[in-house]
Amino acid sequence: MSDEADPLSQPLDFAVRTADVQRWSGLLDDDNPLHQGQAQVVNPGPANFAYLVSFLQWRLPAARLVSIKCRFLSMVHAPAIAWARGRIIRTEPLESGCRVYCELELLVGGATAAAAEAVLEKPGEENAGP
Amino acid sequence: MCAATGSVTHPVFACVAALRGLGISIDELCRLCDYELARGPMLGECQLELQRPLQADCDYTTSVVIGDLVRSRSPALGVMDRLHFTVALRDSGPGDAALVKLTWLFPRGSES
Repeated sequence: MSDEADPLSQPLDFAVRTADVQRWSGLLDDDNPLHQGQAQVVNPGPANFAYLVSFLQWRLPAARLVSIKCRFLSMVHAPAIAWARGRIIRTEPLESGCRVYCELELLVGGATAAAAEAVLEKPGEENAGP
Repeated sequence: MCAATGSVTHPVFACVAALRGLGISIDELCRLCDYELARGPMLGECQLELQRPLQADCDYTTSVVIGDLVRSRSPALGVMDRLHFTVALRDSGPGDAALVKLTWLFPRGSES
């Protein structure tokens, strides 16, 4: 699939804010000192995971997430801007719609902070592409 | 199965439910692994399998299978223990609504 036709080739940015890190820490009941304080706190892994899932939802809004496997490769310190991007590896026709296989990465400061593989199902016309 | 209310949650809430549904806090999980939370444990991997979208205002029960604590050596982090566990989220529908597989990392520096 060409970059022009692949909706995942268009990156999406997410603001990593200190206040959000603290909210995540509370939500997860995670008192890890890496997430505490006011400066250079580390964004919890599930928050980085959420960016990648949100990116999929934004770029493939009609598709349903079936599975995603994410590896966290480096810490993301707030404040920062995280960029999600990806590519569709292949699609498989279903009885109605298609299954979409894709690769994703989360970039912070030019380095890959997280990498993932995801599978989605998109309803629609038979053998339809994304 | 929960009646579809139209309020489908963001899939990350499966991870939140998995961690909150462990029955113990992350601090207690660390202590089970002879590790102090203050040393900064990290999430290494997160895998999510969704059988169906999770619904808001729906009750889920969790069951957890904890794997072995595996020690390895990382060039960047030195000695490190890995803990794998799988959390199943169930509603009243068939099978698991979602499976969340997490790998937790406990860097131990120069310990052997």
